[in-house]
Amino acid sequence: MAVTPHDVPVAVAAGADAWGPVQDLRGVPGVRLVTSPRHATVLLVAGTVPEADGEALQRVHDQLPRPRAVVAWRPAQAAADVPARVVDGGRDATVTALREAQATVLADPARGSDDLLDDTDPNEWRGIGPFGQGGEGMMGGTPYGRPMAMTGGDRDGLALDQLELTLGPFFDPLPGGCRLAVTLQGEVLQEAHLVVRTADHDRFAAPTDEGLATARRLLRRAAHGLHVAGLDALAARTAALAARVTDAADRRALVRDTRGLGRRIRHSGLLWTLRGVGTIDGVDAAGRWRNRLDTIAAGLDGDMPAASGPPVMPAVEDALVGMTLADAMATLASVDALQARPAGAGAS
Amino acid sequence: MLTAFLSSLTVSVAAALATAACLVVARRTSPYRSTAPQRVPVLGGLEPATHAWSRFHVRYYPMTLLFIAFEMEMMFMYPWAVVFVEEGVTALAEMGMFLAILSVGVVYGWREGAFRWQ
Repeated sequence: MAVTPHDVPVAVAAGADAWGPVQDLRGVPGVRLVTSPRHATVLLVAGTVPEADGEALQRVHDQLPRPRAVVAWRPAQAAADVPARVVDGGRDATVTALREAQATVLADPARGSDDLLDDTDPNEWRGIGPFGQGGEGMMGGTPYGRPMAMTGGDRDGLALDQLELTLGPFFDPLPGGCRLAVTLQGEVLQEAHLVVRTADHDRFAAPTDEGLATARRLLRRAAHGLHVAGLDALAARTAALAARVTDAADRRALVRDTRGLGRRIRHSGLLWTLRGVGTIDGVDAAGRWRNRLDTIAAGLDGDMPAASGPPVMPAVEDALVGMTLADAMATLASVDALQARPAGAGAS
Repeated sequence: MLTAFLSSLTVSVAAALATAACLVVARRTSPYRSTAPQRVPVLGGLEPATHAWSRFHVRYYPMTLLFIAFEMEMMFMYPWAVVFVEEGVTALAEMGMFLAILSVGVVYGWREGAFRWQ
């Protein structure tokens, strides 16, 4: 999508129920969903953000540069964690609210949203000593309140440092409601632990027809997956198509446009780059994209194929181990549905 | 002698002072200084568990070693070919010494598995 000075750069913090509807915004000209909160003016808090993610939401909010504005789209609790302008309507009402929020805050920076977390480092740097880094050389101590990485065996038999990160819950390349705890050596995943939450109740209506509902869900997944692959123009086209899928839609026109979209995706070379990547249950990421496009077309056509359940979570995690972080993100973006697993199981 | 440089020294000191003054004023007055949460890497709301200061394997290094060994060889051999016509055996002996030193790097790369196709 071309970047114009009037684009509203939006960072998204979506609950599991709102992540799909938010993908539709990729198809709206004038709104740009950015990958990092640092590039955004407006934070869109959408749907039901679980209470446990309150601090994460506040941190994402604080990571937007000032002046910033916040728009809440159908929040479950009236924006308990961040003060926001609340929208209860559909996509168009949200886009209008995002535009207004940016215009207001740029005209008068004093009306921007203030920091929510304290501006203090977890631990001030004081050099070597009981309160500083506390170690010699590169090992030991807790610089800035974080322990140094410990070593572990790598695939070449060397002992190298392991960087431990938890990505999510509002990490742009991850599907909604996901947290991915990884142990990295260099850019290679040594361990992966995935936590998926589903929303207790969905605040956004789906088409009553099962085929249409599935097609729209997968079109939104596809829009996100194309964005993760860096194909934002195709993502915008896919999102615009997803937004057209309603019970009143002309199914024949949708099927025709979906075929055209499938051709564009195949011509983009995306499937070629994903050959042999992230094989789960004998199907690689390219195969899953092909299945996804077929299922969308079938759902719109009215004949649903027998749905295979989501891949078993340990199989997904096993596939991620040994991949680079980029491949892992591409693999997760190619999976249509992930098994839900409660946050208490294993990862912090 | 010193007076020749006096003007440039004056300008340099003035520029350094002006830059420092700008930085100090910006730091004191800007409402948009980055805060502690903004200095944390963006992970989607969470903080990293460990410090990012970690060592990792530079996997392309045997390849780089070989490239430098052979590239340095070729870089000196082209001009050497011209000199060899004039100097004869002396140039040959000198190039032999140079290649002997370089080949230590190649042998090391061999031991590290740089020639293994995988």
